[in-house]
Order: sequence, then structure tokens, then C-alpha cells
Amino acid sequence: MISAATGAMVLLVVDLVKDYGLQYLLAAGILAGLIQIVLGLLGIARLMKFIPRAVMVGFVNALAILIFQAQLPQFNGETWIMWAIVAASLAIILVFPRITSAIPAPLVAIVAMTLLVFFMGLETKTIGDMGTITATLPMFLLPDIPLTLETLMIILPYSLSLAFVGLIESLLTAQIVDDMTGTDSDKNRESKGQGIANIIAGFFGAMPGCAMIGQSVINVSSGARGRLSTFTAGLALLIMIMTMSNILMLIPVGALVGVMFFVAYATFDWGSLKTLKTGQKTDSLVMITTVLATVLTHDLSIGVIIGIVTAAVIFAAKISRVDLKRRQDDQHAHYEVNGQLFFASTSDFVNQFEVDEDIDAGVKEVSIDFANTHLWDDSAIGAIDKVVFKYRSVGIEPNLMNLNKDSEKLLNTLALHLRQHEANVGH
Amino acid sequence: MSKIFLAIDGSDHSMRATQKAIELAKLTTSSIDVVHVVSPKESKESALQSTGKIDLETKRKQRLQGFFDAISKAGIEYEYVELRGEPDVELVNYANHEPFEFVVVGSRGLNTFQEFVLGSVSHKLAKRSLSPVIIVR
Repeated sequence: MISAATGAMVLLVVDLVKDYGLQYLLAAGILAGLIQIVLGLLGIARLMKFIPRAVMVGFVNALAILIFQAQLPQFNGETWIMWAIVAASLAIILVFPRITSAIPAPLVAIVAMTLLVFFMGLETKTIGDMGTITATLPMFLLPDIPLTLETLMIILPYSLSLAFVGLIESLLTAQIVDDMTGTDSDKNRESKGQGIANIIAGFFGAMPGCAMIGQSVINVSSGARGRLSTFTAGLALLIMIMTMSNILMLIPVGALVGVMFFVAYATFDWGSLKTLKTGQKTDSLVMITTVLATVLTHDLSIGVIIGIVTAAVIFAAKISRVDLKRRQDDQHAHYEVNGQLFFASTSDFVNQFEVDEDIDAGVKEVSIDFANTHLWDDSAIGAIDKVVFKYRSVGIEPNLMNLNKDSEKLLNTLALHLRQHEANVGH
Repeated sequence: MSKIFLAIDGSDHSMRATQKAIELAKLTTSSIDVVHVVSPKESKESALQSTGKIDLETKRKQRLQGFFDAISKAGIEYEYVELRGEPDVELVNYANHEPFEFVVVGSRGLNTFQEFVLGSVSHKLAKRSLSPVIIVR
């Protein structure tokens, strides 16, 4: 897995850097690393399964849209040359793999465009125009911030977002790499590793990062299997910046925008558009909610939280449906309960008993079959009490049958109708 | 007993290829090696759609179950081979690692756009396989 400063992480901290400056970003990154280590020790991998698939799909789709959006300001004040370079880069990235897959197409696109701009002397924005790349080795430093509670309150929300978004993308990447290689990985160890890396990065003046899906897939596809490959990738980047910073400054921004457009295209889960039509409506709703919430707030962590809440509400609504089937044999009414009995489904349950109709139909005995249900909480027991008392008021003692073990235990400890019944017998 | 190589990706095209492979297996009393390559692209999509390793593998099996059922219903012996990597490279390697009677593959796969970019898997097989290749339309 290749980890670095990803688009998702950058998008989270833009405001922090704008409002408070770079030093706060470094501190936020270090704190995010600490949070990730703690989460790893607590066994975050178990928690990740509670993030619904639809939210994950929404997450990557929103990420793709944000990456795309982030490129658009680059076009401000640029001429047609910029557009031409973007188009040409995209064309190379799409067509070059047909010739050979030995050299990565994005690299070819960047080199070709840089040469073109340099030798034809085209007037367009280059990396050098946006800032300088200093060719020095990173130094250990402590973030220059006041160590106060106020500082902590400023960076904490950012740190939490960074920690969670970083982990979501990293663990998703881990799952993809697992499937590609047919091996297993320890997600908790991965989480701790990401945390340690982010702490160290912060002390060396780098922004926090996480695993990158695209690059990791390329890495494994190229035959990488061990840790040496990720180390090499980092080292290569370092050497490039140290030795070729002058050349890197000549790269036209248009070429990078073209590459990022492709990254956005590759990140988007296009299969999910197909499932919009064929899949479950509620899943689609959760996915779209996640995307909209993210794109509107420009914050992936808010998108994920809103997505999870939506999914939870829909799940509760779905599971709170209780159906009663009524059958009458002569003077015996038989109710079969289908669905889960808990706080959200109890009123539905109680309302479906038709005591008056039962009496009108000449019913003398009532049995309630709990074989297809489970009693989850005191509200469920309360609802059963209500039904039993209703029938007692008309002189019928309902027979509760086929409760599963847990439900029966709960019923025996909490049910009022059992106690009152005993009291009545005692008289 | 001779063997037939059948490449599947879960598409309708590969279902037609499977029908053809069954016919051929009956004629030549062969068994079938059903080969599926898990491509990086598939890994990415299925990791997104599933909650974990076990869920992912069950879903993949379910997607291919129709193919296995078709073959065993016809009374043909088969073996499922799962490879990982780029489909064209892996399929050619496997097809040439032992002498197969025939290599059977669908003419097109799941994704037309990818084929435009990367070139067709069936085309690569036809060019590089040592056994006779049958491309089923």
C-alpha cells in the first residue's frame, strides 16, 4: 500500500490552513496520528463493518467529485492553451496503455506536456508559478503553536476528521489489496501504522496522509508484494525532489489537472450508477445523501456521518415493521407475530390486536405465537403486558407461545402481567 | 482425459462460451477448467460492495454459480481456477502451462470501454495461445 497526502486529506484541512496557518495543520496531523493509534489499539477493524456499503460507495463518489471540483479554480485567468494541455494529457492517458503498459501513462503525459511547453515556449501556468520547491532534506521540528486548551479545541475537530477519513480510505485500500493478492491483512495494525506515520510526518513538517487506492493498485499490479515497494516509492519521490526540483518546476499545471481529472474518473464507482436503477431504493438514497452532504459541506467526515445516520434511520424504519397474521378456528383466535419487537415497533404491534372484533366473532380463547419474533427490550415486554391486560379485561387469558430462550427470560423478569396474575391467584 | 480451457468473467458472453464448452466437452469426453481472473478493477469494485473478506468471496461465488451449475447439470467434470492479475496476461499464461484440447472464450467481456483502452482479452488469447482458440460470439 502506498500512503501519502491524498486529495481527501487536503480537502479536509484547506480551511484550517487558510484561517490559522501551516503550524496548526502539522499539530492537527500529529493529533490525528495519535487518535489513529488509539483506534488501532481499540480494534477499529471491528467498528468499520458498521459503516454501510452504500455510505462507502457514496464516500468514493463524493471524493471523486471533490477532486474534480478542486481542479476547476486552476482554469481561472488561463487561456485556451491550458485547456489544450489538459485535453492532450487526458488523450495520452487514455490511449497510451494501448501501446504499452510498461511505462505508466500519466508519467508519459506529464513528460510529453512539459517538453512541449518548454520547447515551444507556450505561455501557461507551471508549477514554478505556484510556488517554489525547495530541494532540502526535511528537518525535525516542533510545530510552532501555543500549547493551550484553545489550540486543542481548534485542531481537535480537524484531527478527528483526518483520523477517520484517513482510516476509511486506508482500510478500504487494504481490502482491495487483500483481494488483489489473495492474502489477509491486520486492519488494526494498519491503523496503528498510519497513526505512527502521521505523527512522524507532522514533526518533519509534512501534512498527514493515508493510503491511496489508485497508487496502491498500480503498485500491486506492477508486481509489488512487500513493504520494500512502498519504501522505494517514497525514496524515489524524495530523490526526485532533491535532484530534479528545477525540472519539476517546469511541469505545466494543465498536465497535472489532466492527470487529476483521470484520477477523479478512476476513483468514481461507475458501477454504482447501474445499481441506482437495479439496486435497492434505500441504498441509493443513502449513497446520494452521502454524496450530496459531502459535496455541499466539502467535508468527507460530515458526509460519512450523515450517510451513516440516514442508513441507521432507514434500517430502524425497515426493521420496526411488525406484521400480525390472524387465524380463527371456531372459538380460538390465533395471532402469529412476524418481525422484531422493540421500542420502535411496539405501538404497531399493540394496534394490530382486535379485541372487540374477537369478542364479536365469539372468540373464547386467544393464543399469540412468538416463533418468528424476538423481544429486544422493556418496551416490547410493556407492549405484551398491554395486550394481555386488554384481553383480561374481557375475560380472556391469552396463551403466549413459542418464545425463544432470550425472549422468554426477558419476559419472565420484566412482565407485569405475570406478577399480577400470581397476585390474583394468591387471593 | 483431455481438458478444455474455459475463461469466464461473469458476463452473458461468457455464458454463451460456457454452453459451447459444454458441447465440446461432450463430443471429446473432456473435463473443463473454468478459469476466472480477478482483475484489479474487479477487486476495487467488489471491495466496495462487500462488508468483508468472507462476504466478498461468497458474492463472487454466487455470481459465478450459474456457470458451475450449467456445467455440472450437463454431467461434465470441471475444476474452478481463480487467478489474480491482468486478465489477458494471466489467461495466456494458464492456457499455455499445460496442453489443452481447446481454449474457449467469449468474444467480449464486461466492459467495452476498458477493451477500447486495453485491447481485447479474447484477441490476446487468440494471438498467443498454443492450443486452438474458439471465440464465441
